[in-house]
Amino acid sequence: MTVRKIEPSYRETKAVAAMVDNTFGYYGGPYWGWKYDDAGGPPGLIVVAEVDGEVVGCNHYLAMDYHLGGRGSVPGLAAGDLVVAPDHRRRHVGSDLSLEGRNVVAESWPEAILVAMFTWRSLGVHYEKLLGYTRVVPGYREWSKRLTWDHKVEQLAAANEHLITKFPRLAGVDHGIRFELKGSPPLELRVDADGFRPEEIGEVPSFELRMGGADLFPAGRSRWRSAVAAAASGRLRLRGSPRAMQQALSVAGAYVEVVRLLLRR
Amino acid sequence: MPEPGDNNNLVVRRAQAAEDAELADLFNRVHAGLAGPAVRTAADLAWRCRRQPGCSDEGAILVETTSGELLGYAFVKDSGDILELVVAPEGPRGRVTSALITACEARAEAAGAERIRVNVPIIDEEVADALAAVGLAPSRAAGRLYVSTMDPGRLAQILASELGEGTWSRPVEIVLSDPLPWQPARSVVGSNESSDLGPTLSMECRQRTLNQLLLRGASPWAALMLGRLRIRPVGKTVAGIRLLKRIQIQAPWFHTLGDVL
Repeated sequence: MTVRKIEPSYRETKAVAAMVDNTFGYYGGPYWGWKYDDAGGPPGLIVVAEVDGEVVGCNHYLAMDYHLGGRGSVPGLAAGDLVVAPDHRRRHVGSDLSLEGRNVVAESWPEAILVAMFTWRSLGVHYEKLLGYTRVVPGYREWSKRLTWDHKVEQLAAANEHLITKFPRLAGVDHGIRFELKGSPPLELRVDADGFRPEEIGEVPSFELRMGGADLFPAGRSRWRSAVAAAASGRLRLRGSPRAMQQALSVAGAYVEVVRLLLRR
Repeated sequence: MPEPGDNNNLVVRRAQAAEDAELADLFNRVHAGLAGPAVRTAADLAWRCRRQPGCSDEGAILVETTSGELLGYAFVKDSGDILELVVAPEGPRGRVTSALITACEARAEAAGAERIRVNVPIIDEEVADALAAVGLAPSRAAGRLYVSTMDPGRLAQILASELGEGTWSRPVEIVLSDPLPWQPARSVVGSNESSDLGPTLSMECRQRTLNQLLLRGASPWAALMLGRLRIRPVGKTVAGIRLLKRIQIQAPWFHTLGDVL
């Protein structure tokens, strides 16, 4: 495998752009063009891995200066869009590309001091060992507001009568649920004989349902299979009081309707 | 400058491309004390916040006084991601935040977004309070920021040089026990790097450990106790630890959603 840098004008960039597009879906092609082929954007560097003349992996860098916390700024690089072709995965291509690519970067941009990247934890841990990355302590908080939340909560209140009639077992439960959809503020609901009511859970036995996105249950796929797949990938998490979860299971059908209502676009 | 509580003298309007230099200056001024955000220029803002897919002119929002003094700005994508929310330190920050968020929310709703989200430094309680007042709540952040150095010894030199002359009676040597192919194994830190006297002390560690010490503010004492850091001569240990603590980046790390590329 050879690792080398290419310019946005090179013929190989077509393969690179296609690879990124296939891997990142919505954030693929148009974003690739904007990031690496925009005349007014920051200077970029594309490093590719080739096997027998075929591009099998790519890694990207953009040059920018970073603030150093009241101590001026230093030139650095934003690293990203590391992709390995599906047929060449699990052969350490990504690691070799990162390591050898960094050598290319050091030659091309000797003035760079910092390299920053955003990634998920499992990959981050790998890169901590490989390239000495460190996960910095976040000094920020993400704030969000679900624009449709108030309307959904109103709909939920209106649906309670129907839920109580359809699921008589609701009369026998009294617990709380903290529903957390990724990127949205949590919604606390009290579940009892009056149905699902948004209010602070307080002291009642409760559990937390955390969902990594609203797209966990795609149409045309079994709900149970989707739930198992989501739980296995960590995108669906359930934790809290076993008693509350046991009660929730007894009214599982009502929960399914509520979650559907909350996630419906 | 409007007084806090005075609601009648804020102007909320679309930020024009010709004003990007002024916006970039405000961004850099507001974020200078934080570590992590990329330095903005007019060209960078135009690229990052105007030409990014999903951005539109309607998403560039500015708040100023009736006399035209810039108080803050925001760029919101059609998806509801607020790439930048910058509020000037002077003026009624709570009201400016509220005005910007309200305008962002209206724009996001018009574009069909399901939610809005924005990153705010933890230390900025004034803005946080204003966000809570307009219905935003803290949520779990999606991305994790990882930072490394091309050469940690070089970063140590830069951070040390910020401390100024007189801090270093004699240079200090940093030795990497596992340098990557492009990293020098030995760096000399201190204002008297050319001194003939040689270094007063030598610190040896892995490059990853040095990154953690410099970037993450990891405890040098812990590194020493765990055998990840060696300081020679032993009699200079306290002096070495003190120096490391002085050059560490202690400022909070921050990035806007616009920094996530």
